[in-house]
Amino acid sequence: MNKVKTFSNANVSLTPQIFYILLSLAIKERHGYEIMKQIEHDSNGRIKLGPGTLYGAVKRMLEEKLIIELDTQHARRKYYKLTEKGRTIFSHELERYNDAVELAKKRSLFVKPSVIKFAYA
Amino acid sequence: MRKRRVIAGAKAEQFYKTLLCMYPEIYRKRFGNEMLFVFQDLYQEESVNHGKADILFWFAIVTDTIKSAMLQHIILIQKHGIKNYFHINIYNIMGAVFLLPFLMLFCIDFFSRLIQGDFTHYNRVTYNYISHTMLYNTYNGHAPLLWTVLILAPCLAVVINCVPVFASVIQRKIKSTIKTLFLANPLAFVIIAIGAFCLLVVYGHDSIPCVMNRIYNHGFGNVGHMVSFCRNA
Repeated sequence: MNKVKTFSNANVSLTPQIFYILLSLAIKERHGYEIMKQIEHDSNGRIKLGPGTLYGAVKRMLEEKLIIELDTQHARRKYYKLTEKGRTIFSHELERYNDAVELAKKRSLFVKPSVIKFAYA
Repeated sequence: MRKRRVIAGAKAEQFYKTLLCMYPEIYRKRFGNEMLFVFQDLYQEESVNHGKADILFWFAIVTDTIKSAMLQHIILIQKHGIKNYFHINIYNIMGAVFLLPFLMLFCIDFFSRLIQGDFTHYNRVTYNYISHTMLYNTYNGHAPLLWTVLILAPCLAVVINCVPVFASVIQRKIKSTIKTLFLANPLAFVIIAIGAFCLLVVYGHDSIPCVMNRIYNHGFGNVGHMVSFCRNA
């Protein structure tokens, strides 16, 4: 039995790193450093990936065919692009997030920042 | 100023290249160059923003590398199995079996000396106990079992593990380097190194504790005096 969870299974949620990599590649193809900077920007500086973590995730995503390497003339950098499978899985994940947010709104689970401040005061 | 920054950048790059050696070879070949480029960009950004790379930058880089390198090794072990990953063969197993009694004795001796806070003299309680075991049974004034455990077994472990290394040399002929031989027989090299260490301990069983005791009590100051003091210990 294969112990590794594959993302093709719809029940497996993405790790934050992989989610943000997919998010950064959803707009356009990028190279490693660009992905890193985009993730930092998208997560408001909460997620900072090192080269090791980034390429560990990239390797896994290449194996799962969520992204592909682009054949570019640029000898120094390798650019990565989202595949159809990657885009589908990313859309499923966004839908899941959206459903959760809708549910939280319905149940009035969102708390205004001022209330949080009061609660912790 | 700019020249100094370039030299620091080259040294940082060299250091990162060394860190990359922690990754499995297959991974390093595929992503090593790209990771180096990303590191160069990060280092340049850090230098521009803060003047030079600070300790936090290096801490983040080193921990990230160690964590991800370990993860990649674990993934490979899961994929290929521990036996294939370490190229474990019968020579390694025999070598480990030969070294085990010595290492057990070494650990017992080391920790008993550590507990008494004096590395120069053996722990009398431990020695009293061990000297009444079959290890110290004498025949014609010799203790063959002790001699076997301390000298013969480590020698055999080293010799036996030289076999796969020499076999690799013969197979590869001219192409073999220390690195390729190590990658082909990593455990054989480890066992040879441990065996050599064991024989060194036996050879310097008086002077090594003396050196450790001097370091324990006086630190690393005046190394010359320490060597002359312990040479005839």
